[in-house]
Amino acid sequence: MSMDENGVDNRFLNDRRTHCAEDMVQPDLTEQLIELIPRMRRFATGLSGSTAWGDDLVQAACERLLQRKDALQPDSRLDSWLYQVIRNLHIDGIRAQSVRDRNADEIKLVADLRPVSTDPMQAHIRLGEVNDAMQLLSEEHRSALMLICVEGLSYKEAAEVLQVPMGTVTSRLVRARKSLIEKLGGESFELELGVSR
Amino acid sequence: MNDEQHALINAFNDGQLDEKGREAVKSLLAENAQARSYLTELIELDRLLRSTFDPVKQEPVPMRFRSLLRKKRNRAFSHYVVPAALAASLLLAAILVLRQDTVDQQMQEQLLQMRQEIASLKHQTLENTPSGKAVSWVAPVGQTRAEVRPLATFRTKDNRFCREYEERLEDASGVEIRRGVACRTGKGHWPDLTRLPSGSAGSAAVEKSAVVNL
Repeated sequence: MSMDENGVDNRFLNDRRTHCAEDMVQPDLTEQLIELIPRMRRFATGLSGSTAWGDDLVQAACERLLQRKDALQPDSRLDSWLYQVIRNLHIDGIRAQSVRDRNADEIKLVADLRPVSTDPMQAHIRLGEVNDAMQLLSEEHRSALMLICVEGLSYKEAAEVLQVPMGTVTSRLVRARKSLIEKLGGESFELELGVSR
Repeated sequence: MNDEQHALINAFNDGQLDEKGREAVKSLLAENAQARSYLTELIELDRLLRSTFDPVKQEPVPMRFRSLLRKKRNRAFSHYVVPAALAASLLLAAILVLRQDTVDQQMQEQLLQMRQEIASLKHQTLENTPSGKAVSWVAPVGQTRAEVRPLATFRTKDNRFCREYEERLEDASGVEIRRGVACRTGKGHWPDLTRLPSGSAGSAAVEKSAVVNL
């Protein structure tokens, strides 16, 4: 990795060769994107159940935007667009799941890291359970929960991302919360409630 | 409680009601114990969800995004200031010839940044990658490559998760392979317990020293 004056020159030439084709990204769009990445990673992790798979989704969405900046309508919000693209990419991934077992590695890792005997006092295990329970829900329920409960979107904003009427969002959310409470299990959820009171 | 009341309490919890709606829910809560415990459940559920997924948002942006966006930003930048960049690079070349210490300083900075990138690669790989699978990183300039491969996962008596891993570093001067054991102290944080050059100690020796330190 020695760096001499030739190295500097070469890098400059490379830069000049490529910039003509690919310099169309507005700097302020890139800035906005950088600021949004932590939120998008959180959303994609919740949808997919792992940061590794989530990061793939976020990266694919960023690449799509950087390659085709016209993909974003002038009047649409960047965050809504990203939520929507990440979700669509995730749904495409779920569809492909029957063909190739996309999550084999992730499931193996979860099993790999799970302790032999569980200690309910360990917060990270408890949080792993929430993630596991989320992954048992339907994609529609999961995305409603992530957008509204975690990302803090209004029902109207969530309806735009999910491209369904607001009434549908409301009923999905009520069912999703009910289902997640059931999945977390009455008893352990009571325990969790008890701890925080 | 009926479906409509459930939906109203959800909307109340999510701050989606107007003044009139809020008043309606408040009086429902005042007279109905079931409604109160349902709202408590919703509040706790949301808290659980946020505490599960918020840590991802707090993490530093992984390097794959930083390099993806930095590359794009630099290109956009160069579009506007090509003549300036040319002048700057000629000047830089001249300075590099005249001032060897500047080169040294710049290399030091680059080295430091690469070390940080490689450390971050290690932490993220140990957090997210199953044993046996390698994750690699290539420096944006120069010939430096790094690869981290978790080898095994185990739990200590005091419930810490530890992983043995192999780290392969490659640059113009050659290849270095090291093995280490790191234990998880928090999400995405895996400080080393031991790290040895692979040539001088096999996996067994690492495990032995790890056991001693535990």
